[in-house]
Amino acid sequence: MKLTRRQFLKLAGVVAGAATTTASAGGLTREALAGRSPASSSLPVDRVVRTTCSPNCTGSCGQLAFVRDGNIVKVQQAADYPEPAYNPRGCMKGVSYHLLVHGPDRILAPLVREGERGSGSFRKATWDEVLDRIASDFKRIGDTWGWDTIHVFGQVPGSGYIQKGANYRACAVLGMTHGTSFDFNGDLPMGMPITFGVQNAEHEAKDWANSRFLLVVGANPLETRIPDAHFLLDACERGARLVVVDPTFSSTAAKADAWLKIKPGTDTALALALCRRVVQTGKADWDFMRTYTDAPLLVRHDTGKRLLAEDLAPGQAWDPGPAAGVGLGDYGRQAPPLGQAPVVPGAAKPSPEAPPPPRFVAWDESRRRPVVITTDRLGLPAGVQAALEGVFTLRLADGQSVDVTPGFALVAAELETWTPEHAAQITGVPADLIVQVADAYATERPAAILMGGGANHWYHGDMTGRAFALLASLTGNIGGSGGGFSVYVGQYKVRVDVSPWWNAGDKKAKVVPSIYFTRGRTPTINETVPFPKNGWKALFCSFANMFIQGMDVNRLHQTLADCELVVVVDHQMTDTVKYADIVLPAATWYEKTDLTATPLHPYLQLQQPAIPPRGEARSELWIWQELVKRIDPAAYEEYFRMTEEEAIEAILAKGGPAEGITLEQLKQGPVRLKVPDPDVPFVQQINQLAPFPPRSLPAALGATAAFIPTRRIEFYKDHDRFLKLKQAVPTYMPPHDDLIHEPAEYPIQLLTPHSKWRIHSSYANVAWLNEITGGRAPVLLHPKTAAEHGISEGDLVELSNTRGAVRAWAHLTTAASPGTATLFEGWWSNQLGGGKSVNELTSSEVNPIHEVFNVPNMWAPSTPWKDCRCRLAKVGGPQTRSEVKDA
Amino acid sequence: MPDKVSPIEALPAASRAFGELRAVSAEPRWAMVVDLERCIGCWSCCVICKSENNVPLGMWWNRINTVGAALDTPREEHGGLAMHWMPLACQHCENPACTKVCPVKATYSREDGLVVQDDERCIGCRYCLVACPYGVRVFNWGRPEYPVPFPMGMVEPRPVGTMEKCTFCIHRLSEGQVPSCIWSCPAQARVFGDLNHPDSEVNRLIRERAAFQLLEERGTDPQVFYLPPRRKRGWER
Amino acid sequence: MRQSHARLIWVSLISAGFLAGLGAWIYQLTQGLIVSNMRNPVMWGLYITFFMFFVGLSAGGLIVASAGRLFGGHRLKPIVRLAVVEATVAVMLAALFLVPDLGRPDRLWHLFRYPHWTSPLMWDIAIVIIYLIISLLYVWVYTRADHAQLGSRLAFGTGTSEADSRRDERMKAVLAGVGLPAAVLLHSITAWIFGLQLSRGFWYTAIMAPLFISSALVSGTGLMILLSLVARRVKKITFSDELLGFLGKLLVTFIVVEAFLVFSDMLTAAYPGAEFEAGPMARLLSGRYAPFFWFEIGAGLLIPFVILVGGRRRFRPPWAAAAAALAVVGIWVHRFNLVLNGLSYATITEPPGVAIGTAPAPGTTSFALTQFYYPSWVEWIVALGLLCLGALLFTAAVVKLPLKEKASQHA
Ligand SMILES: Nc1nc2c(c(=O)[nH]1)N[C@H]1C(S)=C(S)[C@@H](COP(=O)(O)OP(=O)(O)OC[C@H]3O[C@@H](n4cnc5c(=O)[nH]c(N)nc54)[C@H](O)[C@@H]3O)O[C@H]1N2
Ligand SMILES: Nc1nc2c(c(=O)[nH]1)N[C@H]1C(S)=C(S)[C@@H](COP(=O)(O)OP(=O)(O)OC[C@H]3O[C@@H](n4cnc5c(=O)[nH]c(N)nc54)[C@H](O)[C@@H]3O)O[C@H]1N2
Ligand code: SF4
Ligand code: SF4
Ligand code: SF4
Ligand code: SF4
Ligand code: SF4
Ligand SMILES: [Mo]
Repeated sequence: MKLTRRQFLKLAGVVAGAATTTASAGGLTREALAGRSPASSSLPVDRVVRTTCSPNCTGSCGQLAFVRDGNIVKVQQAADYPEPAYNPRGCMKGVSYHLLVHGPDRILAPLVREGERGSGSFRKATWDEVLDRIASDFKRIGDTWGWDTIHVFGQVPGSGYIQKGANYRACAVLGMTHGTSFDFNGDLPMGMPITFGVQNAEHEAKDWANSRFLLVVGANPLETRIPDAHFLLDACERGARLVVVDPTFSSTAAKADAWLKIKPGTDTALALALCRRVVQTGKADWDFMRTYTDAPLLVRHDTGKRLLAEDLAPGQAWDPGPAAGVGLGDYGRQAPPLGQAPVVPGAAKPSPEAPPPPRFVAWDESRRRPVVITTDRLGLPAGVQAALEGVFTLRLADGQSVDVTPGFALVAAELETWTPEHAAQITGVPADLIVQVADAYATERPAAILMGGGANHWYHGDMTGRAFALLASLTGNIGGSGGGFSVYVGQYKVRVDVSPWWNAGDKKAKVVPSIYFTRGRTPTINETVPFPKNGWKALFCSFANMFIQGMDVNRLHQTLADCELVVVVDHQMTDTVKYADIVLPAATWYEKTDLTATPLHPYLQLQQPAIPPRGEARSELWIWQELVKRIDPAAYEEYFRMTEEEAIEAILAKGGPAEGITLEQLKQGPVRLKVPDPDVPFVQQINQLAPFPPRSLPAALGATAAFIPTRRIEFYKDHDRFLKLKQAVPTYMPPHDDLIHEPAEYPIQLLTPHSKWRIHSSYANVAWLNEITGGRAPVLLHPKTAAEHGISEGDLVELSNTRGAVRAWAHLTTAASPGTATLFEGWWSNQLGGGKSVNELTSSEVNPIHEVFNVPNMWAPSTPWKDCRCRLAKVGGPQTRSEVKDA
Repeated sequence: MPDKVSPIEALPAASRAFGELRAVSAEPRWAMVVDLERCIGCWSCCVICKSENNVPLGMWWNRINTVGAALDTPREEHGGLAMHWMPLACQHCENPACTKVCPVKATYSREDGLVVQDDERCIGCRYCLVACPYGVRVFNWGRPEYPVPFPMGMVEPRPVGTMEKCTFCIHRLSEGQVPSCIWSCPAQARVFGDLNHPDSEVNRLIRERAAFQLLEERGTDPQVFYLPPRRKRGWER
Repeated sequence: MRQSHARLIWVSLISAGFLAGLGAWIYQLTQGLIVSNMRNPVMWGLYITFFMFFVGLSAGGLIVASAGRLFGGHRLKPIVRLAVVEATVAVMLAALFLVPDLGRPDRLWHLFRYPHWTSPLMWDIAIVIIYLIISLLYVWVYTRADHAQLGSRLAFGTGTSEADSRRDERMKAVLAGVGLPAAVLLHSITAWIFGLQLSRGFWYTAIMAPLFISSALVSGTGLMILLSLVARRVKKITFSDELLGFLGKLLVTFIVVEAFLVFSDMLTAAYPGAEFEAGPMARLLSGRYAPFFWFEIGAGLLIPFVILVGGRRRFRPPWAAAAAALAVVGIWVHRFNLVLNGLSYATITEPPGVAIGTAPAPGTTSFALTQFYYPSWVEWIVALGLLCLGALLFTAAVVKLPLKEKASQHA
């Protein structure tokens, strides 16, 4: 059929040709043509270098740089991961990076400010001049105010252990304060340390494909996880169901089986309703809850604290002794024999002086008496049927009697209020859809929860995390392939032991959560935060576009006003660079050596120079070497006479996940770390009943274990501040900015998600990408919201609140929820219609819960980017677009 | 200056193996399959095409259409919202509208199915641009402009006043490598291969996945096949 | 003396115009077609419009001449020479207008070295050449006797004998027989350049060729009226107002045919309501190019029709000239509209559209679904230059060639 049609078409062509001429229309071979045939081979190059893309993304994609005549003429994915599923990693931004290396905004020489800060007026200087000046200013400030008043800020070190590590090493040597990034970025999912005692722990992206049900909450992996997005599609291809919770019909929602259009900031309510439905329909996995969580542990009614075995009158409780836990049902099959505690990697040897670990108590239904639960092993003593509900009266050591109840009963009491109808009212998600999702989630196993910035970047984002962790635990979806509760935000993960490089011998950098740089000291600050007593006097900012990416930037500028010196190291002329007193030209990732990793895939990779640094650009390590040499020559000799490769080898020599990996191997390509395959968290806990948490590098295990005294998955928090703030159990807390900006007066919820076209502000100046988007900031508005404000497509609009104002151009779409305005973060000020950055509006409010502990990047204040209200107004008509456009 | 090498020979072994053309017959007939369910609209294939082929500013041989209301903006469909992406480059038509109208045979079909463009012969009449129903040809209106001050990519730039378009990366095929856009699609939504080889992946997908051609009714018979987006597993509501 | 003075001014003016056009073209050669406002979404513009327009004028002229001969319209005799001169100059201009439209005019010779005969453009080039030869022969045959009489070299050795003039008559008959189909073909082929493109719903119609012929007749006749009046004014030819009236009658007939075809085309496109054809049609009626369309209908067809249809107005030079001028301009607008409206509608309508082809202005993208085209100043000046060249050629022909029909030959 097809062939006949083809023949007919050919014939028609010949007839048409022959109608006017005798020349034949057939036989168009290349030989018959005299002109130039298209090239039959590629133009040659000098070399091809394997390296790694590492913006503040979570990709860490292997790339090849093609070099011709000293220029990078193409960047393309290396596609050399041993696992085919990971090939090719990379996105349109990564493969256009050479436009930044060689582009017009590249900084090629040290610069010294001439005009006002922010005026962007600089003169070129020599390295000697700027290094001498920084060294002498640092010495002066250090001697006058203290070295801790110098704030060194560098973004997520996970994407460059060596160059970013040099910042830490320099702080360790000289005594400056290093800021943090993971919590500063609002990415630290505080629900994680609160519940699991880890900074974050997620499944490697490849594992998404193993899920049968994917619940994506406030994440937009199709745009923010481009190299990994296909794992979602793989899962769907194998029949999995994809459900997306988002106020906006995002790209990911477009691929979903169901889109839950949620009111911003109400995800906790949804999660609690899902949990309730799972419990109510009898689909909860009680074996899991009893084996791994604090559900059975008794809580005192009088104090709200957990009952400790020591509190009880002697003999009241049955005490089966340490390491007596067994897993229930199928759980804990690979646990060591009874009496033997599983070994947790990284655990310090218990010192004899240390107080003995606390012992807790559960109620054993079969014996009808309390039973002592130790923390060295998960599970319950054999034969114990632990109660999850009921009130029991027990006698204490001091003779009093006290009412106690299993922790889960308190959680269940909170859940009770979250009927689908109630949740529907709060969240805007129809009740029947909540029921359907809950039923499917509980039965289509394994089910994964993927949470992102949209849900995490809230003042009470910790609650959302806790509630979804509860959902995953209630269904036993933890620790197994295809399941899990994973929060994918930020590239925080330090996957190898970097201490030989980041620390200078015994000296470690003082670390302060960077939000305190903007916010100053809070009344509720954790006393262990080494906040400088003289405040902030200097800023050394590297790898970050802090003044547009940081929260509440107008307040940040107040801190800046106190700073006697602002140094910015970057390779692009960003907004932040414009506020520097001294600008240092950084080498790009294609011009230096580094070691990188990511939470999304378990490969360790090198960055290797494809070309020498352009112009006067230098690596960060070189910069610190030169500065330390000038400030303290002895320290230079001792700690900084080291090449990147030597630093890498020192790290590799520490073993751990890097065991057996050599520099030579890394030069050839990516090497998989020594982690389970697929890389799934908590496997040891689930299989071997090892107590929570696993270690969060680079912190010591003890520091994070303190987050969860029960060493179990904790849903009941008995720390004073939790009790005082009524946040002991997962509870819905309305958006915090509603208290600052009265919703009636500031009717618009401002959402600032991450754009597919940039990595934050990086790549915002790539000509090719701006050819696609127009390179000008749109504000996504629902047509109804727009109409209420008299706004039409393309109008210049202003978003404002008490913190600041910003302008951009309206884009009307029913994808947006009414009452919201979406302005993607990361636009440069010159791409906005006015204002410094969208972060003029965002808040630097610190949640005191986040200050209960101070382990920077693990338990620290996490920025609430999305928790932000504003006003919306039209300020101008549409600008005329290019003449070749039809409106 | 160092001795130059072929960028394909210079590839690390694992990378080179990744891009190798597989299941190729003695007389190949090249085709591309694009899976619209897998495409995430990331434009990586378009950007790498620009890079590989040194395509000037303002010109794209490959683009991603949003099947929606505007770029990355959904449209109303059956009472809900819907959006997907449709990559679009030269379809390398079996019955090309463009070659027929070219007065000097500057664009023509090859035996292996490629519709190629001879920029040394092209007189710049733009008739092929008029004729192509897919809007995928681009003309060098002026001297090409680039974002960097040196030639990029792996092929020579085209002269002013001539037409250009997707070549199926002809310069790579002859060295046994898939086109660059196939290589660079992070969603693995693009497949390239030989229609004449019974075991080729393209043949399998076309057979099994209800492949369709764009503007099939126009009879241009493209060698680019699309796999339709999947049906959603919604709930009965 | 006065007349030669006026002629001098006229010739200087059009020479200056021609030189300006030449300059603009050279500028365009150095920069590329980027100096035009054409871009990938609307890749043809003013030049192609003029190409079509002049093809129409030339065909129209020759059809008038040949039809007069073939169907015994002896009344037309006083203006036949003028008609063939017009046809010749017009076809030359048509061909010339293709040159600035090419991206690579330096490769023009490729057309002859590598002709590709499936291309309607190639057919068109062939027919334009054939047609040019026929027209030149026409001119020669009609003026040969005069050349011979004057002993001009243009007589190519022929004499003034009875045999010679008999051969003239035979040749005229043969030429009329060849010229008419050639003119029809010329126009049909030009129509097919557009009408065979299934990518353009607005063009893809079998009525394109008849429509082109009818509009050729309208514009050709219209221009004949204008040129005849001018030639009579400068005393180059003589004819009666009766003839003027006859031409007007012809014109009005052609206008009616044209209007009928336009209507029929639109009805066919609109009736099924399919986007492919109805879409462009709707745009034509109310879109960006609608003003052009309504001008074409109103000023180009309706007003000339009203002027010419009855009464004695068509016998009065001012009225006839006005009607003719409107009809000519109307057809030009019709051509312009045909190109632009046809191109303003893409087959693939998903955003973001096609790549424009030049670096986008800041804040805008590289893509457009369509484009609002208007010619750039370079295009206008190049076109003006070519128009002036046409005027020069025509003036030269009018001045140098014996256009007045000899009384003896009236017999
Ligand atoms: N292309 C690209 N990729 C990136 C980055 C980038 O800048 N660009 N940045 C990287 C980094 S560091 C991070 S942290 C991640 C962040 O990436 P994601 O985790 O995807 O976070 P966002 O893009 O901030 O928001 C995701 C979605 O949450 C929705 N949302 C907003 N408010 C709410 C809410 O209250 N509830 C729910 N359920 N959804 C809400 C938004 O509409 C948006 O669609 O991306 C990483 N990947
Ligand atoms: N409103 C709002 N604001 C947000 C967010 C939000 O959701 N909403 N998200 C937040 C999140 S999650 C994050 S992670 C942050 C990200 O904030 P940043 O990480 O500060 O953002 P980037 O734009 O990636 O800035 C990185 C800077 O480092 C530079 N750089 C790149 N490579 C190198 C190098 O090798 N050396 C040196 N010296 N410099 C280099 C780049 O040119 C760029 O200027 O933004 C936060 N800001
Ligand atoms: S920008 Fe991120 S996702 Fe894209 S290539 Fe680089 S690391 Fe990978
Ligand atoms: S898609 Fe267009 S340019 Fe490509 S072969 Fe078909 S008709 Fe020609
Ligand atoms: S522009 Fe070039 S390739 Fe296209 S039809 Fe004209 S000569 Fe042929
Ligand atoms: S095959 Fe090559 S030329 Fe064609 S779109 Fe892909 S990368 Fe571009
Ligand atoms: S690279 Fe792949 S996923 Fe991205 S737009 Fe192209 S085809 Fe779609
Ligand atoms: Mo982040």
